[in-house]
Amino acid sequence: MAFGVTPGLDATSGTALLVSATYALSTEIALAVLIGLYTAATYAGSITAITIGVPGTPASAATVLDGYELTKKGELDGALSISITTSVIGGLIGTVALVFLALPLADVALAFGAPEYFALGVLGVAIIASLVKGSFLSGFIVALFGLILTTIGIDPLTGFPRFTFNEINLIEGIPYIPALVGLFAVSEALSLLFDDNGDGRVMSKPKLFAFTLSGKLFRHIFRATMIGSVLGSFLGALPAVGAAAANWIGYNEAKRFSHNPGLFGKGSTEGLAAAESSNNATVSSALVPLLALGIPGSATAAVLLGAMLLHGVTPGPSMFTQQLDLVYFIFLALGGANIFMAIFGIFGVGFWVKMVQMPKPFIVMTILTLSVVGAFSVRSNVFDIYLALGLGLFGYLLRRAGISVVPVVLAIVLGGLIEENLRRALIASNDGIALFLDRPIALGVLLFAALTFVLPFIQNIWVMGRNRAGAKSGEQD
Amino acid sequence: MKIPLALLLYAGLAAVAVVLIVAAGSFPKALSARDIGPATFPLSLAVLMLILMACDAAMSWRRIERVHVRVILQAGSVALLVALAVWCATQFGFFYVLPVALLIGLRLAGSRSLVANGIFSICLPLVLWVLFDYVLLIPIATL
Repeated sequence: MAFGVTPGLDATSGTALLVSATYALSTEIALAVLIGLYTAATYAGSITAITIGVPGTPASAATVLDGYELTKKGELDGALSISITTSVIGGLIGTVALVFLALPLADVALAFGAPEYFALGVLGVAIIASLVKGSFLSGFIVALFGLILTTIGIDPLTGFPRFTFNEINLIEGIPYIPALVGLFAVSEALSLLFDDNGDGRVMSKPKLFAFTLSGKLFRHIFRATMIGSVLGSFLGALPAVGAAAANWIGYNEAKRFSHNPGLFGKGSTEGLAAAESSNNATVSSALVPLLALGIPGSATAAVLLGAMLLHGVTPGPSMFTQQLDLVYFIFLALGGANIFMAIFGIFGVGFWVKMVQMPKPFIVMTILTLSVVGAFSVRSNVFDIYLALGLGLFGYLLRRAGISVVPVVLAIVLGGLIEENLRRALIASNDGIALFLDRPIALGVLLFAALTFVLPFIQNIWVMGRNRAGAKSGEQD
Repeated sequence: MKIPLALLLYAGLAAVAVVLIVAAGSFPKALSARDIGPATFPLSLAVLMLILMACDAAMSWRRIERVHVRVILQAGSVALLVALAVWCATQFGFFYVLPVALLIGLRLAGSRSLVANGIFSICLPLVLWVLFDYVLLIPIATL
């Protein structure tokens, strides 16, 4: 909750910071902690959005529209009550979707071999790279850089040390956790320190027990909540769509089906319900590709994948046959996280609103300290701290240049899988690269990945050509 | 002075790519005729990255946002200061250096209240010490 209510921080940076703290815990407890953080931080961003009109996380950007309007009308308690109720409903529906989607998908994926995993890895990176903000090629460029980083260290098939330059700390490659801490948390701290993240003030304070949702109001927002939840569950399962997009899409669709669309943006309880239920529904369903295929569909899922690997768990279809207990535990943890989120959201809201006002220097110093500790604690290696600081600075500069750090992280997490499976597939086949012609699923996935690159490229060239033609005709006129 | 930050980053990435391409030249060949060897994958990535950077720079250089050079210097200074604090921690001990580093850091970050800064600089290390060394059993004092 603390990570979610702090403007600028979100579930991704929170999980990245806490992964190393869970290192000494059992796998189940560690995953429960991180899943709880992911769920609660996604919701808690709305507390900031509703109280000061600044989204605590990107996933609560649409929440500001109606949530803050309700606060300005003096209905802060009501807005917070709607937010927690619909977030819990969305989270639980998303968990049900995860159970029903992940199991059959894992069954299908059991037949996958190295070529399919190579193709899925490429698709995972390509989709994320193609959907980032800014110049469309920049996502692919930084994704390639992330993939290059994964080639540092001992080559998995020949044992030859690549690009280590006699540095013993690089023999094992770039470690996940310091890289995640640097790219998400350190860069976030620098951004909080130097960029304008909004420094709003709380207009009114909620009561200690602020739950004021009546049965009549619940019936009024029920349809919007369901629209948001179902859409969020579906969108979350698609790689790269994420909570932020679901927040807006859920909001827009609820507006389309509402009897009072004119009220949206002016303090509509339906708008708030749809936005809140949709972003929390994505939390669980974003784990569908991660658990069933071993491919993270979002930045936070990529951090969770890093945490799972740290604990010796390899997600994917084999997890459903060899560690089914753990899969069921994750389902239960998601359900339990929503219940605890409801308790802390309802009873602790006064405290969380106070946290929204925590001065920036204290937040920045806490993040930097936790980053140093987090980067160090996994391997007890000071080199990892310097690595996290270097990547943090790189991540901050990327942000300032308008380039997302998410493709780098996803490439770092998936790079090993991509290269290893490509080479295993080639070694096992006599046909060289033509082996993909005999693997229709792998070929289809690769073609789709190629489309995510080629289509925006063609579109961009076409738009540039049209603009140039427009400029010429304007000159002639 | 304002600079096109994206282009500067691309130049840095291009330099990395060139170094890697040169280094990959000394890698051994593949053990089997079917394998692509340790060099082909990173080489392909580095070449593709160079091509895409050249394309992006050519297509979007007019639209690239210019960022004040102060931004880079400020962020770099913070990273250097944290690195300096880490180096001091390795010399004198993490829990001796952390309160001092926090006090200085809070002041530099703009917090004026000496009392609040002092309380925070003592409480955060204490919480971390108890949490990591006693609850999670992860030794961080060895830093």
